[in-house]
Amino acid sequence: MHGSAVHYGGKAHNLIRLQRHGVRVPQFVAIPMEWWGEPDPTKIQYCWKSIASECARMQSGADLVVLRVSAAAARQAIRQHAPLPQVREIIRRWIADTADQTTAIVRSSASSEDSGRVSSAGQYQSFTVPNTEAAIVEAYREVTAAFFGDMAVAYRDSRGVSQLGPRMGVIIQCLIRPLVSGVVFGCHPVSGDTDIVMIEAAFGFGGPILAGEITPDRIILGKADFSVRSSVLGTKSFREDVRAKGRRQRSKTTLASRRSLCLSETQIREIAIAYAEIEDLFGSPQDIEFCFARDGLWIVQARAVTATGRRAA
Amino acid sequence: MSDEWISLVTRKESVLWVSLVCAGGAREYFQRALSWDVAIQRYRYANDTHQISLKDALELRHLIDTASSEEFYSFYERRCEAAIRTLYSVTDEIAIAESARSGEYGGHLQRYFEVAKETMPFLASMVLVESALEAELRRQLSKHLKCDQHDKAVAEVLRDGVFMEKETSLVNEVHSLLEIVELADSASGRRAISELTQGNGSGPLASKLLSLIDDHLSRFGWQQTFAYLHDPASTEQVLNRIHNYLVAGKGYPSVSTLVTRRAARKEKAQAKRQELALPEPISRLLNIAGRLQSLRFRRVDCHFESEVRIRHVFQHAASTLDISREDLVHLTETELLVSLRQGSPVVTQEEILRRRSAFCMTVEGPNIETVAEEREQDKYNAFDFDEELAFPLRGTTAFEGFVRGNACLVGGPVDVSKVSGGNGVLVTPMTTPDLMIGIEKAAAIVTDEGGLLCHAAIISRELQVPCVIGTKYATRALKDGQACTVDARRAVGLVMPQKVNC
Repeated sequence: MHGSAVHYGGKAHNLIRLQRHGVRVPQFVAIPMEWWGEPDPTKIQYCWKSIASECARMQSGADLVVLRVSAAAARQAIRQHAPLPQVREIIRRWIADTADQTTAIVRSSASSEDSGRVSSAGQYQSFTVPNTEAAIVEAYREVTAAFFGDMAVAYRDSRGVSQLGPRMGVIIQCLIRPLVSGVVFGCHPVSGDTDIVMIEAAFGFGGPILAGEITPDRIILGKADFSVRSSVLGTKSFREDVRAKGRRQRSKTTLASRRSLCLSETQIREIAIAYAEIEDLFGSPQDIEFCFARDGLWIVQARAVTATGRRAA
Repeated sequence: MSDEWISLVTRKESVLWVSLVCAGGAREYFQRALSWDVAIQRYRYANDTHQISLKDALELRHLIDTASSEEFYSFYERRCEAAIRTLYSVTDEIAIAESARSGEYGGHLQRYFEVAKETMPFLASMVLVESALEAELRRQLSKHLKCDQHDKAVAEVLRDGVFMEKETSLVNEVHSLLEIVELADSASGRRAISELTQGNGSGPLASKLLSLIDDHLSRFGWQQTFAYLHDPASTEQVLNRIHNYLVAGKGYPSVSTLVTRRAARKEKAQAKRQELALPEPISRLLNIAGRLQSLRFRRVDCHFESEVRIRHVFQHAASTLDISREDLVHLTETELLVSLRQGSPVVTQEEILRRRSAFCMTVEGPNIETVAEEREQDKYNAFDFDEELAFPLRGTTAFEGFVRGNACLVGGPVDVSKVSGGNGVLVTPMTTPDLMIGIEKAAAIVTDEGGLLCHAAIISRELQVPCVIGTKYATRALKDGQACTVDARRAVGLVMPQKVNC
């Protein structure tokens, strides 16, 4: 691996490049993964080892309980560890810079995550918290501990990614309150056709789309001219919004809004233009999360497309 | 069977015998009315709506889809018309029968129930038929207009092309009332109305007005009732409305304006239709769609009106059994008839009370279950009705493949251990990342919700497991362990449970 990707983790690395290129990303700060520190190497090393051996046993059908216990012990060790002074300093500066914000998002940027080889899709959590030092420090600990989430461990194992070296960079981001959120995918996810761009979008926060909890609207565009090739209505049965103090609230969508596309034609064009620019920047089909707030389009993150439905030869 | 329901009709009051007829007893009526071998197994009344279970709805929808054609829809329309006509004529006979006033209630009620039941298959299937027709129209229109089924162009044709004679009975009532108002719109007329509202009108004009109002009531008085629960409109109420128009000086629209306005609306709709220059078959289907929508209202009207016309029979039955007329609705048909035969209610007062205060009543075969607590409401939310309700379940293929296996219903990480043996089809509301390990071992994945770009879809592609997402109700239509086929070879993924009872 090279330079800054190791330093900040895949997601933060991409965000930094987007920002430098002038793409509209929400204000953020990245905490390098090296600053995670090594509080009690022997303790965590022990946890890793038991996780690794459990993963090996799981292949032969051992039950999940022991794996869970080891992962929980590793998480506990990380939570108990106080963040390094430079992390505190970054968080303090962030608070000073964003005094007008009431809420922030703290999310992971792991070493293997979004690196172009494996997606780690949805394995790590992100937290919406009040924009105060105490709350962000707390969330920082949770996010780093999530490196040893039960399923993150299982996923790394199944994809042959190292369990060792707790590599968890962290991103602190301003909260956007989206009217519509979604994902743009730089090829057909099933056929692998790179002449098209697929957009999936629904009302409110993007979380339920990513988690697969709701069926979003799907729009397919030709990459050459941004013409709409097809659009399919999703059920979009509920929307998630962020209320005071980062509390998330789910509400049912109205029948009328379920029966029409959540994006206007102009918005679709706007997304297509932004997408093309980002693909040019990174040089390969991208998997982008976006949202529309009252003040227009925001790009929340970008990563290279990993797997499509085309079977390996 | 999970608690998933399809709403059929919204109605403020529940009439239990209607529910009971639909639950289990309706097989012969479906057979007779539509030659369908189907019965509604579970029926309930909650949230002010009549609902049938998702499973029953799926079966019905399957039958409708199989039959779907122009001939079928006109056949359906004719049969429904016929059932309504019969109900009207039989209630007319009962209404004028002397014996209905002097004691022979049981026989008359039984006869009434018999014909009313003939309309039940339409209560249970009308919404489903309409939505199947809409789906058919969308298919044909998208082919004709060369666009997507959910394209704006299709929606516009459906909006402008389906002209519905909406709530005709309510409109007619207003017309009839305004005719009386116009007649009374003079100095002497206003005086007569004023006197009549104070209860002391006399003279030829007053008696002429009263006879007009009587006539009006006999035609439209039932409109403000709910079945035999409430009283129909009274002469005083009509007098007050006329008084408001004339004396209180609020003004009123003339009948001719209303008629022309309505005609203009209809003409505009027809002009729009012609503009579209649709091919004849689509045009005919649109006509049927409009007529079916009006028919839905007329079927409900027909029930209200008949129940009001023979309300004296219900009144007598109630006083014979010494219970209130309002409580009659809480008895089933059999309970009511047996009670009348033996001269006292077969249902205890407590049971009637329980049914009266029930938030939700579920009927399964002969069993009635009541849920009193409103806080249970969340559990009983009705399933959103959807036009694509049918076997095989349709979803979107996230990773291609063809698999025959056994459904493993998985609700969370704890259930994941069920997926094993190489032919387990993981069926789940949504594949959250928690289900990673199950995904690895599954022969295929089927979800209710989710898009092509959700985490589960991405991971299924990384792991190369055939996956169909967004089937909407796989978890409710498939049983745990049931053999099923997942055909994810095309963009539209199909999931078919084996041995469906249809």
